[in-house]
Amino acid sequence: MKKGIIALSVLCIAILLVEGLGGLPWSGGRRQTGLELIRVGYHTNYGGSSAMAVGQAQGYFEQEGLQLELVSFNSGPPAIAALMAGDVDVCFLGHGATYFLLEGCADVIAVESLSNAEQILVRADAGVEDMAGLRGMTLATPFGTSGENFAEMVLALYGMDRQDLEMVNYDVAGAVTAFLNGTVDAVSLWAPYTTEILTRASGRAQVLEDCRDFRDQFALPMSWVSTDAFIDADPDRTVRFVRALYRCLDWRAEHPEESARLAAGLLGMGQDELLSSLDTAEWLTSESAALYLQDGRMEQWYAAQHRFFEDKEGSGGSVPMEDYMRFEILRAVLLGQEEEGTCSSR
Amino acid sequence: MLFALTGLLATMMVLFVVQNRRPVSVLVGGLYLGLIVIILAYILVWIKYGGATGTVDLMLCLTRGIKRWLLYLPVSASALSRMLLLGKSLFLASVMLLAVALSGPRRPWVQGLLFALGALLPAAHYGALHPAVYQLYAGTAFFRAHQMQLFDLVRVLYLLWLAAGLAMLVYQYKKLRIAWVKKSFYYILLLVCYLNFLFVLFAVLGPIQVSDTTSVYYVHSNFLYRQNPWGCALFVLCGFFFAGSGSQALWKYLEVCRSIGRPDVSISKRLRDSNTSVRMFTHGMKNQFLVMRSILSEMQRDPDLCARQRQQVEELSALTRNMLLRMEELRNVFRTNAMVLVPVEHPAQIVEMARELLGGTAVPIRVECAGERPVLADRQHLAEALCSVMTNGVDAIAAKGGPGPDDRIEVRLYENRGSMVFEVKDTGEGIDKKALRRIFEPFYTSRNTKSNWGMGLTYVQQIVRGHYGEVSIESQVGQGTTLYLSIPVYTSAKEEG
Repeated sequence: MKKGIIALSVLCIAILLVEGLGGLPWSGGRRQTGLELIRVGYHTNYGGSSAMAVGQAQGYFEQEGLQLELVSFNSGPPAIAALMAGDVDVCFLGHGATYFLLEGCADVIAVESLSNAEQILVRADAGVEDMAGLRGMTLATPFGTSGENFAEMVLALYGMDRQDLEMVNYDVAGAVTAFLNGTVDAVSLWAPYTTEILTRASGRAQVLEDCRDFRDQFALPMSWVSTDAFIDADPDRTVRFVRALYRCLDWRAEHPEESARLAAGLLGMGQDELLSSLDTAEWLTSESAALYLQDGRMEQWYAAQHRFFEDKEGSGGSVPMEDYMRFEILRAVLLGQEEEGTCSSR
Repeated sequence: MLFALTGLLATMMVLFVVQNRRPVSVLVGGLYLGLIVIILAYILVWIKYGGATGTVDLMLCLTRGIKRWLLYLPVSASALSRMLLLGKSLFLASVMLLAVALSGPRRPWVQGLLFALGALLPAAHYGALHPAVYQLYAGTAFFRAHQMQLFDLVRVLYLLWLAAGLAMLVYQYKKLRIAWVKKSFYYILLLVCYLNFLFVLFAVLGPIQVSDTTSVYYVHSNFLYRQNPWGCALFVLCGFFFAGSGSQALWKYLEVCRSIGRPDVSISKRLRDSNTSVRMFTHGMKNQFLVMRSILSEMQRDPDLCARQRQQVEELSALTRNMLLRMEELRNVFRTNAMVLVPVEHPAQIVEMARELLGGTAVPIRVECAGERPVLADRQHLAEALCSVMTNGVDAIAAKGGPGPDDRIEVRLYENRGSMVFEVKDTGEGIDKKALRRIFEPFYTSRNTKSNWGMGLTYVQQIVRGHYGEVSIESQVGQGTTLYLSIPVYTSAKEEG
């Protein structure tokens, strides 16, 4: 009996060590179906999940010889952490986590949309009319996300910064509850969480600032990213993924309600909740993305983001934009311009 | 599944603390509580930050409803980080304080220093990684450049801390001589091992801090992202195995403690209450027997008694004398509070005195003294107590029809964990488990004869407790009984420095 317990203990310790140090070699690689497996981290909102939901339903990725294993994340930083740890190969990245690109953690392989989703909400009885009224108040937002990014950009426009109020780091769902139960005075979040607050608060919450009001001043691109190691190991695989992705985006643009239904099924949410998110972004298609790529606007969006995060206090990144923007992949997919070492078109 | 794991840990914690009301229970409770807090914190991190597939979600949370409820709990990143730190610090403090408490004795200043370190270093760990403090250095260039290495260093320090605690316990285990003490210590050691493994599984492999998710290095391993259901299943199974094995060790420890005949809190309270009543009772009874003796003495002088009546009067007189002696003995047991404790350089002398008090007996008595340290003792009373134990051994051998060729009484004297132990082992009939629990109760005896009123071990216990020692007993029916009288070693102020 004693020997049995000791043997089992040793086995458990061995498993611990393997799992803890590197993981067991049974994830990734080629599945038995002959498709290449790609582990994809998506976000629990319409923009971060609808493409994947459409892809699964329409089989676009399988047509490119790829099989996806989907992992959900509630925000960018944990998704990037998983990317860095090698647990996902590709993930969705909101504009709030752009600084990870400057830190050399990931490269942009596709541009999904321009976000209109961010809003700053405040309690209706707080007596706050504009951002200046938030001085000294508490604002909940998940740090390192588009919520924080949007809040800082708007504060900057008012000549304020985060020191003028108390910004508290909450996960996105926790921030919803904290706002609804009065723990914080304001939140900076994105749809569908902002929609959820406005619905559940029943008039006790109001929109203080909306991302759509700042389209002339800044664009907030949402991206799909991957690591150098994954991309360079097989550039063709990445191109096939991006090609399938844009087919998903095209289908989504043509079938918005159906896409919302599919995304709702993936996320386990109500369809109505996601339908209200349809206008929370300019959803790119292969045609619009090709246009923005060709006329240089895409590059300008990311250049602006790069400047913003470079100037941001505490930012440690210094990787040049050319190093993390994989325009060659986008050109190969959207413009059919193959470069050496990228792909062969199908 | 992980909720079930925390449920198991919580149950064992409550069971242990309720069943074993000793100071060490608080520290074992601290181990369990620390682990519960750590696991709950990681469950929240998993749910709130994502990173798990649907199958893995099922392993962690059971139902979508529970997951949603936890997801929407308004727990800030700072609060979550503090919760995790609290659990880790509590576990680290408890494991070291438990090791220090169980691995004594030492010089008081050394013990004090170790206790202080065992409490202060985990507190410093909490302070250093507290989100408010972490913010002060997390943005520095040095930290950002070396965050991975620094967190790895913290993990190594965790492991070294656990190893130090275990080493102290193992060292102490090897020094133990008394069989039942060694057995109960073994189970505690096993329990600490398994709980340490659980700590490694969660707290060492997991992220060191979770308040700053803007840093990509807040996750070092693939600990948090369990996409593979088999990997997750193995992880949870390991957790259950360690928790379950620890629980089994804990159960065995409680069984060992229950099976030995040691007076517990309830019996000692009864004894305190019974002392006064017994003194009053014996005083009253003694007076009655004195009157009886006087009447019988008068009857003996009556010339009109026939031979048969005279014989009956003589038998009654003998019984009365016996009863008076027993009343006197009983009164002395509960009156014994006037012992004079003096330093006794050679406790072996007390064994010799007991041997002489026992007198002649057909049972061979072997005496072995393995190392002597001075004790503070009342030689006469302690020798009487030892003699009483040896007498019980003689009676036990006689009760099974002995003494046979293999029957004997062995008396050993040795040092163990800061006490001099007088071990008396007989080859008598033994005592069953049920009787063993009551063996120290006054008037309880398995051999109710006119010469044995069940006061022997009660007396022994009173004497030994008066010496700030303790008595314990082991017995096997048909094989014999061993009693351990432990008296603290006496060290003078000069020796302590």
